[in-house]
Amino acid sequence: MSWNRIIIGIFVLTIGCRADDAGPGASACEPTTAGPEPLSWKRLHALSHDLMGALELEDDALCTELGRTPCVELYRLSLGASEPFENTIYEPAAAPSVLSPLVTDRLVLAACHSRVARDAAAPGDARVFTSIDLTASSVEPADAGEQVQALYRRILRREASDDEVEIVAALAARDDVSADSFATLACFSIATTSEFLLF
Amino acid sequence: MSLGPIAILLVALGLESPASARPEAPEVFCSAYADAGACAGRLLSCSTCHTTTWPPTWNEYGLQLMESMVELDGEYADVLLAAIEATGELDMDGDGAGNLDELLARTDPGDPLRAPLVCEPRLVDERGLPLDDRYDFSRAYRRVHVLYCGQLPSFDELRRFEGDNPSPPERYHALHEALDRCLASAYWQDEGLPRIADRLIKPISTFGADSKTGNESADYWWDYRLFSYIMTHDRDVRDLLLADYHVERADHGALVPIEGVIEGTLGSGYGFDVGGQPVQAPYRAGMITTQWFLAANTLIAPLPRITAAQAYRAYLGYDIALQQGLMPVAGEPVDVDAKGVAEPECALCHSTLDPLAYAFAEYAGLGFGGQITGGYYPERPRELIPGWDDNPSSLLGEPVGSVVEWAQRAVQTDAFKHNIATMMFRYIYEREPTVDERGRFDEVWRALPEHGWSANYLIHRWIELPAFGA
Repeated sequence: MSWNRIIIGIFVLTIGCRADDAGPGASACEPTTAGPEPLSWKRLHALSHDLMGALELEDDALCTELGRTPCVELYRLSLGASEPFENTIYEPAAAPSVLSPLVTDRLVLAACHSRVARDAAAPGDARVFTSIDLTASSVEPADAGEQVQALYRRILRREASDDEVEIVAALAARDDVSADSFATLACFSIATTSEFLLF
Repeated sequence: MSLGPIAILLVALGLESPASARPEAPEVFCSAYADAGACAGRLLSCSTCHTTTWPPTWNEYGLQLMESMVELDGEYADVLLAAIEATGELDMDGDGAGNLDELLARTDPGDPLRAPLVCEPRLVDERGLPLDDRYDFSRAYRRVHVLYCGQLPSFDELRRFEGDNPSPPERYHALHEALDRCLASAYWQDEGLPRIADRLIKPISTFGADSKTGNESADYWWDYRLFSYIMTHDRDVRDLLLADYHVERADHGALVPIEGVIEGTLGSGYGFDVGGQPVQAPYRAGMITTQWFLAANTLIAPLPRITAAQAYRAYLGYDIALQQGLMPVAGEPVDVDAKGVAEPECALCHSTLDPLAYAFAEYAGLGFGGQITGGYYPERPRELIPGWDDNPSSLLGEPVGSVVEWAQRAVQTDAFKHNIATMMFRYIYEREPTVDERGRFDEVWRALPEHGWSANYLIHRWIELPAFGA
């Protein structure tokens, strides 16, 4: 996925109606400003808090490098935050950089994996992946669909359409995809949609 | 025909009057065209005509204007205004709008992508709401939460907002109620607003209260607390420059004002008395007399030009380094500290900057010679500046006798209102208002006094713009 392409693709230059647009005797204003506002980049704080909220994770469980350094600190500039205190960068980057999709994938994948591992370790106290047996070697289609619907509600805060459920649940259709792999991939797929990453 | 050779010829012939950058030009234009969009809360930028001011070079519009000026006789201001009129009907950028119309509408006579609107977009819909017909309440509701609560609304919150097909007025009120809740949230107070304040406060951890190097100079958390306190709960934003109090955090997390001088508590490798707030209430001027602001900007400068420039940039929106807000004072710069600022290439900006800075000389930067960092010492300029002669400060054409008067004058200006409005606007849209938003933008910031000088008022209006619900 290319962030820049998304941003550029959705950017529509708005130009107001000009003096020579109005015909003689024109009385009504019909400004040519119908172009939609470009979607905004959901930057570090909102992205990490939406992930924490959706997956019921504390900030230190979201993603760490070498088990020590939080990804949200290490990659804060690429994730759209500023760094005023240590590096006197008072303004965040105006647009995602080439690293932004990489570190976003890293953050989301780690968060999804973290939630799957926790729910698999304590099935009786599972928070998110409650529709499937995470220790199983495969997932029943109906269970996969139910889990996808639950993930849509948690991550995108809405009901999934039938088509959306079908597409994500298809990840479980392969024989070599275990339940925990399906869970991680389904979570990752939904949490890296433009709908979740932009607003 | 390119006008470049004409400019070169004029310079070669020593015709200085039309062929040099004149920092009074923005003031001349905005005095004559006070209602122009280009002067709404702003002074015209030098970049309207110039690509550089030293050595002076001109853009296409500037060259066209200068060609007209060399044919006229008279005082500079009269010649400039006559040339603006004479070239007003011409269309330098070929976008269909005359040069003067573009200046009046703030669309830049040299930018072919921006031209004045025939009329403003309709902002009151058929339902009587101050919204565009196509305003998407659900999108706006999500955006309000991300921007001001720091996260998306929950699934259940969204369902409640959607409810049982509520009417547009019900959604409109629910949206503003949600915004009010977010504007009272810990996120907005402790994360959203501080990130807006970063460029005003300019913290450096090495010299802050959290320094791990033993170089503590001042505690900028006082500045962050003061900013967040003033910008929340419909408080008066003029206190950014007028507050004579400080703000502490109570045990339950709320920000509460406290009066008086605050004793320093931090040690320092240099032995400064830091970490408190040493300026007595009569000499306080909000954010621009905190210990951090004075220490970090003044450092050891006898005449604190950087301090004044940062105050001018942060709170009036004029960046002198970008040649904005130039309003030269006659006879300035006198070069009171013999830094060579009277040289022509320096005087362009220092004729505005030095009079801005004189009042700040009464406040210490880093504390030396028995002075406390950021303290108020009325004899300081006389002690540190050999050529000091009670040089009078001036802000935007009016004399000011102290930093407190500087601040009192500043909050009366349109530039102050415009700057606060821009801060809140840029937080949402990460851009300047577009041509078709400009009319509403100017209308809203001009009404700031009627709405209690509240930052929240501005935010409530900005989310009603078509772009927010598009």
